[in-house]
Amino acid sequence: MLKEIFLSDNQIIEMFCDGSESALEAVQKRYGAAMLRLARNILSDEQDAEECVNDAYLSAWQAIPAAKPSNLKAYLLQSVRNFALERLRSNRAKKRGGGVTISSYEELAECIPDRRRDEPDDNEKLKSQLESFLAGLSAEKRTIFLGRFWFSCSVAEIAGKMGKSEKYISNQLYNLKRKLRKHLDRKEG
Amino acid sequence: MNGMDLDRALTDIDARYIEETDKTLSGSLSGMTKGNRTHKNYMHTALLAACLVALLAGTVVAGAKELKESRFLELFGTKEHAQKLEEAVITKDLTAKLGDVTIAVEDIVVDKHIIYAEISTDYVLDEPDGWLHEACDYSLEITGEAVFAVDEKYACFKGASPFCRDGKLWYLYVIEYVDGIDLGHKKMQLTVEDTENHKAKFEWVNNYTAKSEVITVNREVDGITVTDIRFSLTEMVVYAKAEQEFTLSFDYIRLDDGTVLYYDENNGMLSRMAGSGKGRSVADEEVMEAREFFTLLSGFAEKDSKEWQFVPYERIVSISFNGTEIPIR
Repeated sequence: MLKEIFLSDNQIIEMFCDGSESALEAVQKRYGAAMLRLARNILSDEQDAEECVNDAYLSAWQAIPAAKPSNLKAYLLQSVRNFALERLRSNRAKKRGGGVTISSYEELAECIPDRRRDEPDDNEKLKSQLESFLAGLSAEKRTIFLGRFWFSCSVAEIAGKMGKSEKYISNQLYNLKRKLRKHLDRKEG
Repeated sequence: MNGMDLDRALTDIDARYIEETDKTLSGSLSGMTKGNRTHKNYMHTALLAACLVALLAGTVVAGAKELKESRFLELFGTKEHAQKLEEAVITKDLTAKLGDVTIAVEDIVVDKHIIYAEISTDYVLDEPDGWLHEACDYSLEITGEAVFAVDEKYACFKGASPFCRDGKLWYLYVIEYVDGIDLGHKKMQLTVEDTENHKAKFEWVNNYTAKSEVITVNREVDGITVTDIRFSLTEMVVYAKAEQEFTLSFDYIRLDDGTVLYYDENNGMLSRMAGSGKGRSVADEEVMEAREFFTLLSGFAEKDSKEWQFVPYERIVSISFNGTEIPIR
């Protein structure tokens, strides 16, 4: 009786390529909830979160077809995350806003080895180091790490979804942060 | 390098890692409650429209507006249309919760004497998009009107019809003041009630001035005098009088490019939803007066065609009744 009708990623991308505004509606229907959820996790302000999601829609509208994402959902979530983090930084600079990512963001910053803090930013290199770190983890540990630091979920939320105790997740995160710090230190050294 | 750099690099990691985590945590990451889903979707649409205004300029904005227009007109079976609703489509986004179901007055399409309210619910249906001709498990009682002083009473045609849009239950609610009351700047109220007596009241003030035109005709055809024709964005009303009972038989309208369009008042839901119909009254003992309502949203098509058109009234140059074509411009 109950059903949701969604277009496939390829169909949506084709609509973007054709310049059809229906693509925005389709992408909103298919991934809007996930995008908003991510933005809400990063930003405590509902309006900020919704604006970031809309920024991501517009960014996709402008970028596709030049960019043909192989994984539309990940592409959109990455875009939302970028906009949300930018907004978070801006809010922090203006001393407003807050939310879970303030702590997850600061937690992640703790993973940077002291001797690399003055190093100029090299996004590609850092990305490659992060990917090799993730590749070396079990699927469960990757989920815990990315659940907390990529999706900005709370410890309680991750614990609930994975059927683990909060203490277990907290301990895993502690160990994962230490491991990442070592990994970044080793690669650099 | 700082935490910001690390976060940025983390954002850009291979999509398969994002997908893997998303799948594992999907219940909490992707899920939203049934109750607020529809509203959120349309909130986004509204916000998105605002962003488009700022960033993509006119053409895309027009596109988004056209999408709403198209969906509204498609309800009436009108696909191709030279006429635009444009500013007549007003987003409302007034929401309420009736039990587990979220109701929203999403948009209103406004005209001088008629308002068409599009009311969404997040009640999911297993039906194709379009009018619902059979009752479904869930239904709403909708009543609405303009707010007048206590001693002011005006004849009002109103009614709700359910339809399915994007797999959800929607209603189109039409309020028409057949005595020609201008609904611009009037306070409106609309009450929605489910079968379990959950009730919500929506109120708003119409902030628009709708265009209209009254053309005095005073042409006699077979003893019947066509006195006036009143046009507005979505409606044409013909006024006529005679000294005895009469039937004004409408033939066709002619547009400024010579196109002749015929009317089918039985086009779908139109005859009962969009103000099409007849009114008759006795003005005094000697004169019978009548008025006939035609919707311009749909119902007009070329001979033997089912391609209904939304007709711009400014383009109507003549109207034929009882075999006599009367020029009006």
